[in-house]
Amino acid sequence: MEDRLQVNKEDIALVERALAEDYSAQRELVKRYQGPIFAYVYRWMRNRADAEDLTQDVFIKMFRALHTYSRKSSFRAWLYRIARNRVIDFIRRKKPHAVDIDDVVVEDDTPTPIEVHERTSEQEMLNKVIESLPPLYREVLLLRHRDELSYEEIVESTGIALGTIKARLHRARAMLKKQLTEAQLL
Amino acid sequence: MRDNTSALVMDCAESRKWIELRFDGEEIPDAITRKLDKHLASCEGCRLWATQMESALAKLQMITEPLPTQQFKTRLMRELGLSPVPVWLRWAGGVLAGLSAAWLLAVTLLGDRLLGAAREGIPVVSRLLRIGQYLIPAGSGSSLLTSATEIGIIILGGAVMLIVLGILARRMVNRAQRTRPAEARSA
Repeated sequence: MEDRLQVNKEDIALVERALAEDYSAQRELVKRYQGPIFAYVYRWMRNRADAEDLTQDVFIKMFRALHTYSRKSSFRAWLYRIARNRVIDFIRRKKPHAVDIDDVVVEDDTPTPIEVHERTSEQEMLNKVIESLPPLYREVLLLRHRDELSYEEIVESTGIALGTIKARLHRARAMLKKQLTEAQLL
Repeated sequence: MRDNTSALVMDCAESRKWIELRFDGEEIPDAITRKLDKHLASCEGCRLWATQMESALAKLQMITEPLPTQQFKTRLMRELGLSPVPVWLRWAGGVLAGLSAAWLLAVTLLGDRLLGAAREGIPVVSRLLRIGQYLIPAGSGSSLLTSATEIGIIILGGAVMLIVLGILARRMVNRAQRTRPAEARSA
């Protein structure tokens, strides 16, 4: 928790300097978040080229809107929100065949963890299990336990009510545990 | 696995709810913690459940997610107008600035002797020489001049013009790089 607050303090200091045309601070902001934002976008796109284009868009949008960022909230959550909005725009406008962000149903043709168990390594197997989770559950699960966002940050970045986030996370954990057990990874 | 619904004793469902909150790092009241620990001590099913859940969540840190390539990172910085100025360009700028300073110093100190040689040649040099004469009284340092140094200094005058043009071009390149995020912000 204290680490998170410290990170946000540093972020805010960088934002202040970036707004004052300090190019090293602008570079530092990009360096700090290019990896996490790329990974987050890739989770939806499943395509490196699209993920790169969208990541670039996110940072352009970030600089464009930096003066609107409220110092009271988490900068990271604010940036994730920009990324999420860009992903939604992209999916709705340009890529109707991409993963539907509102689709919470697992596709029927997705092989079950057990089916892929024999032909993949444990690492690949683990990735398959994560991919087999419904997108909205996967999203909150990874934001919380992979990216280590707090509940408040997840609420802020997704715009979803806290109660819904908690319910989804509870369900997502149960699904993850069940899938990993079935795949004999626990 | 037992499923005790008594208010004093925690049942499995309640126990698991609190275990999840504990994984989230949320503060749990002492009274609840005591009840939870008591339940876990006596319920093998919940102990196994807690261990498996902890292990499942730990595995999320093991998944491999793609990283942005170095090529993309470089492109991103360039597209955002945030590419650092190359080292060689910084060195070149420093050298050019040093040469300019040296030339100006020479013209200022030795201007009175150079004036005649340059007056009909290069107008910019001539003007600089007049400034030099104004700053330094005529005759100072002039005895040291030779015709070779005069020619050398005049050639340097031409070089200074090229240097100034180079510096201006560099500034324009930098400005073009930096205006992109500025434009983006003001859009």
